Amino acid sequence: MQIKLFDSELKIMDVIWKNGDITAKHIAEILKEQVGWSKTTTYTLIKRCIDKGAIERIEPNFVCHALVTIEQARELETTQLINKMYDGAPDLLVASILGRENLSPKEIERLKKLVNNLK
Amino acid sequence: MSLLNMSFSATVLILVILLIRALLLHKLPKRTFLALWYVTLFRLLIPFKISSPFSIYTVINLLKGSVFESNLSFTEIPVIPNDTKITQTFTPLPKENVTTLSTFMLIWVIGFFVCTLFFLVTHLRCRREYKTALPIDNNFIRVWQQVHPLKRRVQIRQSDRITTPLTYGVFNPIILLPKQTDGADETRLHYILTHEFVHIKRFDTLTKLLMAAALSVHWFNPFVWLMFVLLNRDIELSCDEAVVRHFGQNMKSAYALTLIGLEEERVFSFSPLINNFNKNAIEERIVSIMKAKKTSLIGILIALVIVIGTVIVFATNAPNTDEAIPQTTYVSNSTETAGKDFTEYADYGLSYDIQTNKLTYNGKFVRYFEDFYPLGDGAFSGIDFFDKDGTVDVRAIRDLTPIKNSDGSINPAGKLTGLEQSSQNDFEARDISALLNPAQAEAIAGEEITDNAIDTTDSTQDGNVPVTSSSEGMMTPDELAKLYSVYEPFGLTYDKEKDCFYYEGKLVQTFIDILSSNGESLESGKFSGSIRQHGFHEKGEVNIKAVRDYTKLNKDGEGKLVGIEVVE
Repeated sequence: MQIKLFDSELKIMDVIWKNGDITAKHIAEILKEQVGWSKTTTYTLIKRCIDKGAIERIEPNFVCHALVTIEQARELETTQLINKMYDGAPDLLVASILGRENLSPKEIERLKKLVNNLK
Repeated sequence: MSLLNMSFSATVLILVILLIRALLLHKLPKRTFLALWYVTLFRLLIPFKISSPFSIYTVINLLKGSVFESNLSFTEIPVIPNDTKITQTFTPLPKENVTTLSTFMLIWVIGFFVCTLFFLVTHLRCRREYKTALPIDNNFIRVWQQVHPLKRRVQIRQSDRITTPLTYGVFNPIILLPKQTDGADETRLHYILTHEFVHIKRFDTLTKLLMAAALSVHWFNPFVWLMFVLLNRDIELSCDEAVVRHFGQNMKSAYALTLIGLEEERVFSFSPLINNFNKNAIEERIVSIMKAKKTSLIGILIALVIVIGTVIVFATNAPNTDEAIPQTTYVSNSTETAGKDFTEYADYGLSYDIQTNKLTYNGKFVRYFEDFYPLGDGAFSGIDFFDKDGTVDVRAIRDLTPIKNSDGSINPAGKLTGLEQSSQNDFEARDISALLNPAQAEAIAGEEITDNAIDTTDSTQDGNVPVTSSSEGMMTPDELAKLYSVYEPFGLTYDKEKDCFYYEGKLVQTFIDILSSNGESLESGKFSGSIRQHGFHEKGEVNIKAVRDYTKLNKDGEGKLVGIEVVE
C-alpha cells in the first residue's frame, strides 16, 4: 500500500508513531505547542489522513490509530528519493551517504556491516 | 451618487491611468501608479464626492451648458424633500422605470454574490491549506527576522504544498516559503524575504482585499477587471523597485535571476488575494528591474504633478451638479414612514431623541408640537407630538405658496420656514385633555380649524380644492359634479350651484372621504394616502364620512366605495 503524505500530514503521523494510539484532542494539544497549529488545522489534517487511509478513527473519544507504520512511510520517501535523485539505483544513494564528510568512521563501519548483512 | 455614476467616473480615471502607464511605465517611479490605483480604489468603494472647479466634469458641464442651456436649467428645479407621509400620492414613479430598475438590481445583486462567493471560497480554501505549513528551523531566517523587526509579528513558515514564496494575513502576516527554498543559498533567500517584507510593510494584502471587494461591487465593468490585473502587476513592480533600491544597482541581475529561478519551479496556482512572490507577467517584471534607475528628484516631481493633476481633474466632481435628483428624493422619502420623523425641524432647534421619546426645543422639553398643513377643504396632514411632562408648546410655520413638483402636481406642504413657541398664556389655555383623548380620526380636521386657530385656516376656507391632486383643484363645478356623482347611489348628492352636499335631505356640515390609506390614522403622523374633504358649512346639520374597502382597490389605487356613514 502506497500512501503519499505531505509534510504536514507526516507531522500528524509522527505524533502517533511516537505516542502510540492517541486521541485527536491530545494530538491537537501537542501540535499547538510544537508547531503552533490551531485545533481546526490539526483536525483538518487528521481528517485528510483518515481519508487517505493512514489513520483509523476509533470511538469513543476519537482515538487515532496509525494504519501506516513509520517503516512504510520511510520506504516510500526513500524510494521516491532514489528514483528522483539516484536514477533508481539504491547503491548510488548508499555511496552518497557513505561519502558524506560528517559521518564518523564508526558510523561508516556500522553501515558497511549493515550492507553486507543485507546482501 | 449611484453605483453607475461611481463606476463611470472610476472608468474615466482608469482610462487615464492606462494611458499614463502605457506611456511612462519605465520612466516614473512605480509607486506613482500605485498611488493612482489607490485613488481609483477609493472612488470605486466610497460613494462620496469632492467638488473641484478644475474637474473634467465641470468642463463637460460648461460645454453642455453652452449648447443646451435651457435644457440644463430645467433639470435644476429644486425639489424640497417633504417629510409628510402623504407625499407619495403626488409623486408616483413611472411604473416601467421601477420594473427595469429592479431587474438591473437583481442582476447586479446576483453578480455581486457570485463574485464575493468566488473570492471568499478560493481565499478560504487557500488559507486552510497555508495554515498547515510547518515552522522553519533555519538559523539564517532566525537572524534575518531579528534584523528586520516590525510592529506586527511576522511568522516565517514552510510548506511542501506551494511552489513560490508568498505572504498572507494583514494583521498577523505570515511569509510562506516552499520547501525547496529551504536549502537555497542565502543570497536568494535574502532577496525573497526582503521582497515579502516590503509587501508586508505596505499592507499589500489589504490592498488586494479591497481590490477584490471593488471588483465584486463593479463586476459589470470590464475596466475594473483590467484594473484588477494591472494593480496586481504594479504592486509587484513597485515591490521589486523597493528591493532594488534596498540592495543597490549592482544586484539587479542577481535579483532578476532569482525571479526567473522561481518561475521555473512554479506550477499554476490561483489565489487572487495572496501576495505571490511571482505571479504577474514575469517579463514585464524582469525588464522593469533591469531598467530600474535611481529615482531622480525631477522624476519624483513629475510623478507628484501627474498624481495630483489626475486626482484633481479626473477624480473630482463638478461643484453642485447632481444635487437632488427628484426620483431619489422621493424614494428615500417613501421609505421613511416607519416612525415620526422630526429631522426636518432640526435646523430650527427642534431635536428628537428616539430612545426616550422626548422632543426638545432650544434645550426645553416640548409638551405639544404640531405641524399640520391643509390638503385643501379643511383636510390636514402633518405630524404632531405630545408629552405631558414637557414645558413648552411649539408649532411649525409654513410658507404655503404652492410649489410645483417636477411631475406637475402640487406639494401642499409648502415650505417650512420656522418654528414658533407658544406664549405662556396660550400654553396654559391649551386644552390638554382634548389632546390626550383625541376625537375620532376623521374628526381631526374640523377640530384643528376651530380649536387651534391655525394661521392657514383662511386658505382653506375658500376651498374648492377638494383633493390632494392639483388637477382636481382647478375643476369646474360641472366636472366636480361628475366626480361627486359616485356618492349618489349612497344617498349623497352634490349641489354644484351652492357647492354643498345633501345627505338624506339634510345639508352636510363636513364630509370626509379617505380615498386611499396605508391604514394609519390621520393624526398618527404616519398616515399616507389621499383624502377628499368638503366643508365646513355653518348651517350644516350632519357630519358624514365615506366608507371604503381598502382591500379592493380600483384602478386609481382607491379603496372601493361601500357606503356613507353619519359621524356623531
